[in-house]
Amino acid sequence: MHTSDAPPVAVAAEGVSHRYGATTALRECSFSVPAGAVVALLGRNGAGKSTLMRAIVGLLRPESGRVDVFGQPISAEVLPRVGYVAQQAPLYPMLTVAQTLRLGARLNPRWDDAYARRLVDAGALRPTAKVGSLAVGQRARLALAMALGKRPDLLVLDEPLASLDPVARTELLGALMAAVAERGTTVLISTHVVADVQDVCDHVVVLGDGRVRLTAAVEPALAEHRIAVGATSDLGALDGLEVVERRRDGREFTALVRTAAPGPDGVSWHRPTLEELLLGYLRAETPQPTREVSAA
Amino acid sequence: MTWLALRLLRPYLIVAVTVTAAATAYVLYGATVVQGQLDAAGMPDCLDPNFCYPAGAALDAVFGMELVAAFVPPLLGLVLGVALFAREREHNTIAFALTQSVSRRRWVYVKFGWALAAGLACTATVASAHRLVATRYTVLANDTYELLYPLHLNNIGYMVAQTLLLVALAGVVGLSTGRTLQTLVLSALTGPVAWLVTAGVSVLCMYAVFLLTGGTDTTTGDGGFADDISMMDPFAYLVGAVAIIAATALVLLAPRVRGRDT
Repeated sequence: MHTSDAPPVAVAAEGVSHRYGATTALRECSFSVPAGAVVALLGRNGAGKSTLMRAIVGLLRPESGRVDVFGQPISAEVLPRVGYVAQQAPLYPMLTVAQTLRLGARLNPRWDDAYARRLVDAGALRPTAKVGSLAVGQRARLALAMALGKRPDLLVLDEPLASLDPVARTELLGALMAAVAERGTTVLISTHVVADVQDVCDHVVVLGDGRVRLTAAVEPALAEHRIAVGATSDLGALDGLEVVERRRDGREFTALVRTAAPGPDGVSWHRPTLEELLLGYLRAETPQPTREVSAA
Repeated sequence: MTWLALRLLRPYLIVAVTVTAAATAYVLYGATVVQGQLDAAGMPDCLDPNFCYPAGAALDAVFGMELVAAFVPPLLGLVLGVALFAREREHNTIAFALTQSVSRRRWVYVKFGWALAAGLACTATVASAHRLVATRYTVLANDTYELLYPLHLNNIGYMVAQTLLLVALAGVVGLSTGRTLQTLVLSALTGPVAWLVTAGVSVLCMYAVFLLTGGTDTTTGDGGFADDISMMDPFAYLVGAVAIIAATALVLLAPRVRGRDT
């Protein structure tokens, strides 16, 4: 439930934990996705991104915690508002492109056939081609068309760009952003490649070892961090500051520090790029409490 | 949803229909072989093995018809049940299906519904051919193949229920494991156990009825060899009913079944 002056929430995860046998995939994950935001879910391989996304779309029932989508647990009532593309974009290989689109029309009450066909046509996919015979990029485009054809209010994309060449990545992101601009769709997109999403996302959630390490709007997060560069002999300048990640390179160090203002003199301070910020949190080895940075 | 369920089932339907056609054709052929021997012996209507025990090709035909009755129903159950959900999970197409605007419950029920309907139609065809055409001849060698007899009891309902129980069991195992080969092996191993349990429950039910009715003898007929054809019908129908209840319970339970990654 949100108050009238708070932005509506598309996804709210509260204390989500899940294990696969002895392996813990998610530990007490809590974060929210504002409606209309483009959120990048970042983490290294095995960080728990896919598990979290499967929990959001209802494919996985977490052992503990709660995930709400548009204010309620995922259910048949909410599913028409949610589009999902799983890793590897699984579709039925024996169906043709046209049959797959017809399937979308049969299974989804909000299906926009003309829009889905337009997306498919833009990718030069032959309607008679079997899905199993499509190249990886073509299949990803078809999967995205299937998800966008639902005219979802929330789009959950699990590493949709991972197996695409640079041209296909650009095209797919273009189609995605066009949809966002047109309808204000909320997008949650997972990746382990920062460069893929740094130009399109306005919020980030960083996962590490199954924990949420950072959940923030991009601009406030950048404003509240600084990169410190200096000689290792000046490391004492970081004393008393909240250091997210620190690296030594010979006689120099580089550190990501959580501070809105530059620290003591003797060390060079600059505002991080989004890539520097995210890499800092991704590299941070020791589990840290969740950083929540809200918009000012 | 129906279109998708049938489209996904199509390769297995083709196999099931082929098996059904082959099995039914064999039953009809076997019957003509035995009848041919009876005709040649001048005893076309003989039902007493003491006078017209089949030999040679006719005995082989009886054996074949017994094998069809005993093993085609469970085979059809495996064909239709194993891949029903296991393959979807194995290839992760379940992630696509379950994120369309269709509830998990509906998806599971529709898929089960068509697989069960196909199993019912296929096994009913084979079982009817066996009961209506073959048993008049297999009864001539009952003593020789009595170990196969408990597997079919010459009863259509009994054979159909075997298929339905195995479709339901394999479907649920497939939902749980998400591996086709594992599902096949587990279903093939647990299927007979499930059937034994079903038969055991039926025996207990019959015993309870026996006690309640004071042990009334319900045997009909004059004790001739032809009576062997329908002798076990009451028990077979009871086992069939218990199996169908078990299959229904499995199907109703199925939407709640999730594997370790679901």
